[in-house]
Amino acid sequence: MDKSEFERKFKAKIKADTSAWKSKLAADRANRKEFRRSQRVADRILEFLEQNKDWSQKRLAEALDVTPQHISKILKGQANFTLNTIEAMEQVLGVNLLEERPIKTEAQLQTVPHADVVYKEFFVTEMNLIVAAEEVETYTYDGLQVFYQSCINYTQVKSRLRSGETSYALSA
Amino acid sequence: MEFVPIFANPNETPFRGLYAVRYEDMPEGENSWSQFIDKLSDAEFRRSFIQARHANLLVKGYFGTYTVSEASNRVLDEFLDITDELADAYQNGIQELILLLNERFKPLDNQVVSEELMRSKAKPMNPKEPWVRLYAVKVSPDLYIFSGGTIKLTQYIDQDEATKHEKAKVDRLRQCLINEGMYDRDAYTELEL
Repeated sequence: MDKSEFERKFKAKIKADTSAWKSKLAADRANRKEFRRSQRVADRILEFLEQNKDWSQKRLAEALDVTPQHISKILKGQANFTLNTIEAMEQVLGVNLLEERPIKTEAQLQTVPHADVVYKEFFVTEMNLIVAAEEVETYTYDGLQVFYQSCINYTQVKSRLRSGETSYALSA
Repeated sequence: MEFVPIFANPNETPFRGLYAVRYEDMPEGENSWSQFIDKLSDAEFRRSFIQARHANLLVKGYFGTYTVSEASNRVLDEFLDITDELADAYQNGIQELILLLNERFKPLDNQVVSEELMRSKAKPMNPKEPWVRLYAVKVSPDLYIFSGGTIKLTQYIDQDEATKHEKAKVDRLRQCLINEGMYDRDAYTELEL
């Protein structure tokens, strides 16, 4: 195709950018630390919702006293938080929202006998544990051998411990 | 079909840089690039995308073993890296952007996957390759049109619905260029970054 003809056709199809991506990326970059924190908090809350099926976004909105629209913004990682806001949310959910480790709460640990030991091993071996049921045949740590072989995956273990099924992990 | 300047000066000819395609069926104020930005910066989208592929692709050891959160974080890191890199290059001048685009965009693998391979379980791609992928067509030596972007975890583009969808978007763009009489076989290249 003739170059000038291409340029003419291309020019006729150029449209001004009316989207907000440029300002959004610039703002996220200028406040990268806060942006990452918002993303981190979103991921933690999403993980919390996955682990706690009795919690819905609606219940979350009510518990945090915000609108469902704001919850949607929070879960996208687009909400701006102060540390005080995060602390308030942590108190409602009983979850540390800035930690890297899988979700747990002090309250849950206190109500599960020996759960500190379980969780300690659990965190250290989290990566292996996911495949443990398939690939690890023997693992000796007190009663944990049965624990590993009995559980299909990490999510199930956590939800069982959280819901108070202590006997499952420790004596199944 | 319209072209929205992303990293480009629409008042400068010959046209150079990166444009996004915009179709009439897109919501007002959106284009292929803004949709990509919205999608990848959405923690809920990333987590859901990864959850759906986690058991098959992320815990079997090809990439190492990732939790969903770790995988989502890796995607976020890659997304921020590439958008920062493109913005910085353009900030330094169109020539630097063109050099970056020429260097990083590779021809799209249009290898036809055999029936047998399609039926087999999708295998993850080389672990050293990036997960965040951008798709574009090059319509003249220094001019790229962005069709879309996604997370690619499989070896072949046809082995995951998300990448298949991106391939369909590239195909749609090519067809629209043909329909508009803007298709130059010699200049046209489908690309993946």
